[in-house]
Amino acid sequence: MNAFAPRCPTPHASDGPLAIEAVDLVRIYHTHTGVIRRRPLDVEAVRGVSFNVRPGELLGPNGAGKTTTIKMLITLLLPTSGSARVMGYDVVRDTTDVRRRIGYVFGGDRGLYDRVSGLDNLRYFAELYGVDPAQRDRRIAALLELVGLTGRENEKVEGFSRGMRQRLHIARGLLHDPQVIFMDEPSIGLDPIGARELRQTVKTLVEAGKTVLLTTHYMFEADALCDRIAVINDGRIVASGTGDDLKQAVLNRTIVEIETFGVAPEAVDRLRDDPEVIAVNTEERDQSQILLVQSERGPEITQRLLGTLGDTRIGKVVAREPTLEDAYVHLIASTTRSDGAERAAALG
Amino acid sequence: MSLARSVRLIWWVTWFNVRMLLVSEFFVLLTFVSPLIFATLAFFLFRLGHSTGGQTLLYAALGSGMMGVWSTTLFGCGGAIAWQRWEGTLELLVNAPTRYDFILAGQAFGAVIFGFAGILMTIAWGMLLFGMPLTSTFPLLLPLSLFAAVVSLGALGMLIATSFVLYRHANALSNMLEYPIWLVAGLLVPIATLPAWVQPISWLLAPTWGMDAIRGATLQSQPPWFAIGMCFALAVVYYFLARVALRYVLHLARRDATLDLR
Amino acid sequence: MSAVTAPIALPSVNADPGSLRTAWRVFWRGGLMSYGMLFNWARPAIYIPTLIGGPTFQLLFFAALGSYAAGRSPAYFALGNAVQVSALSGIFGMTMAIANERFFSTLPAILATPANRVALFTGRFLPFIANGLFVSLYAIAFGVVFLGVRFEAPTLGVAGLALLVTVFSCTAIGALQGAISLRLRDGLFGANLLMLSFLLFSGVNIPVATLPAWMQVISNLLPFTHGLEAVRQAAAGAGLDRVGGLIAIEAGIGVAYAVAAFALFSYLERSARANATLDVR
Repeated sequence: MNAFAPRCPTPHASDGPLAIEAVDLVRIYHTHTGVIRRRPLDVEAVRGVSFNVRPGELLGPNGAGKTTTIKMLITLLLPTSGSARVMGYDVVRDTTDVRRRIGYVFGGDRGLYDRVSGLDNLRYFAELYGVDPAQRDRRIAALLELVGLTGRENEKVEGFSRGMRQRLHIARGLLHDPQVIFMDEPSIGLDPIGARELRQTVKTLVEAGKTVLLTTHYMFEADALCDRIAVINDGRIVASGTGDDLKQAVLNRTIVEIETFGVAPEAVDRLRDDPEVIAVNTEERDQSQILLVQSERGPEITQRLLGTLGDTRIGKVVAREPTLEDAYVHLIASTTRSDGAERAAALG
Repeated sequence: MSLARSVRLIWWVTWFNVRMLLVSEFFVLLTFVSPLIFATLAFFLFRLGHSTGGQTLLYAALGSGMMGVWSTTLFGCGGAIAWQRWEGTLELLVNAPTRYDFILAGQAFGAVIFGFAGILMTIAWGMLLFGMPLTSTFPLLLPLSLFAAVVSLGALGMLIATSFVLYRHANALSNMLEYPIWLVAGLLVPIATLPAWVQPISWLLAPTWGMDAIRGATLQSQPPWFAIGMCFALAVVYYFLARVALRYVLHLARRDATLDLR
Repeated sequence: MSAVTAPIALPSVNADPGSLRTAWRVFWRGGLMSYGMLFNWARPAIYIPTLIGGPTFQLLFFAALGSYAAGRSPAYFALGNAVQVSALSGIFGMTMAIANERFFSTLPAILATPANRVALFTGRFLPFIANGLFVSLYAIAFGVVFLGVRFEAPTLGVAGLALLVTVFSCTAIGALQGAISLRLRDGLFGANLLMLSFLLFSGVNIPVATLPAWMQVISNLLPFTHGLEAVRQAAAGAGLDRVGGLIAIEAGIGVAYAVAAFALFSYLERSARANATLDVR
């Protein structure tokens, strides 16, 4: 029995079996610290991750533990506990059934046969995926055009740039027309045009009814592409929902960006002490620091903030709506803080 | 640089390289295990031919030990510069304030000295398993013979290091040159049994005279003065050729900016 | 690089990784393709010194040493070594292939596919068996021309069969060696050790019957020994009736090593999934 999503022009959640279902996935790495006296160390990379993805959806987890989660879903890693199903097949027991229905794009410099051409790489993996030989070359040609490698496919991969390798990875992940596609930071290594083409590709895939699980650090990409977003921090999902849902947390806020030159830490602390300031994050630039002040007040708070900063040299000041990036920063900061508080409390 | 300092430097680099080789599984196999297997082979072969005397055993032990010395020198030096290139240290070493050929000398001698430990193994092997008696016809000359052999092989090693790097696949060359040198240098098979046209090639090789010098001090009735002399003479020639090759290599590298070739 | 245009329609494909036909393709085509991908010595500049030059000198060395030390005809040693050099491909080739998979990090990529594992694994043998045969045939030809090796014409086919089985068997132990080297770091050590062992134990230079009893035990467990004896006898005119048994034993040894290698691979794959040693990048 196969789970199928009807091909729909706009992505929407459909009824029927889930494309991806993860229940309390846990992955603990056993490793060692120290060189002389090796002490065993258990690293909990994933601490109970649960989520569902319906066919035709796009989900974008961010943060620590995402690669490990994906590796469990593509059957390369066994969960320490918990379970997951892809298209209804268990990732631990039904590995062959899972593998024939999924494609994955991990990118990076490795994972390709350097000594032969891009075309040979694709042909080889097409054999491994059992692609019908009569249709194989047409599919490969279309994929090459899709990723922009037409004309370069006969060159040896060892001469490929990082971006070209990334494109080849993407082509490979789509060879056998998988129903579910996992992409781990696929736009890294791509130039802006390539990244834009990739986003277009992803849109096309979703419109064709595929399910795409995508991880990215680029918030705007997640916001633009994904139906739903999950944020993973420290091995746990700290928030999930649509982009708008996530922005809710910071929706009523104003972000005031203040460019300063050599701001003193005490001045930043004074800002934090202001009762109507929720958080202050600092971004270091070459010569300046950008203070991101979150407040539930409107832009009128700007005057007061500048006053608090005293004779700090100020550059540009912008008061704006929160973006998904701000929501993300807030989520990470708040969940890390609470974790830390828990740990501190536990240590007594 | 003063002579004392130069010697100290070469000494230090040599022992550094010996230590590096000690932790390489490949070289441990090459230098210690491989000669033992060839020694066993030689022992059995001579036994098949009904030569089982102590002299034959010693001959075989020395010959197979020397085969190991050659292998270690070949692989240790042939890939030396390519290895540095691969590791990215070639550029650093060449631009270091000390002279690069000192470093090269240290590498070559490190390999050679390490290789000579293999002879100790084959001798111990012969004594333990085949009852080989340890005799020497000119025991006082033996250290000199060994020294001459080391110097000669070390210089040849330097030449190997500087010339192999010009061939892109130095390891392939090293793979090919074990057997022919073992044969032509007369390590186990006397040169006299080889075709006449091969013999001039034998005379140009350090292993030939090094083996001759060592055999002369242990097995032969005449002291091996000529062999010892040839060792030193060849060493000078090799060293000169090595420096020429090195100058060429460095020139090429600077011209093509290929010191950092990967 | 194309500008951002209308999305490209991808032609749909059927994929049936579980079918027998696909398994055959993985075995045959996939296997042959893996040669160029994974064999370090494929370039002529490396191939000729290592797989032609080296074996030639090896034959000359042992022919000279054997005839000098043991008083036997050089042909005996030439034939023995001519068969042994096929191990260069079988053992080093397989070890290299596996080491390269690790170096290129393609092992996870392959393991993430639904391809039939047996087909994938055994397909890798093919190019190295072919290569080993080629190297041996060259060396035998050299021995025939220069060192007095003789084959009786009627039993040429039998000798060929014995050679083929021997090369397969040695490739199988190469696969096992390669699998072991996945866990230990250096594959070269085991590969070189095996090559040297054949020289001593397998009747390449020393008749097995003249070896001490404990060494003969090792001889009989290693590939080569029975197959080489079959080749020698067939070269001297023995027919299938006489050497069939030896060939069968050699084949059995090869299959045993192949099965052991496959079992080890499967175990390593499972263990890698559990212990996260399959790095995707």
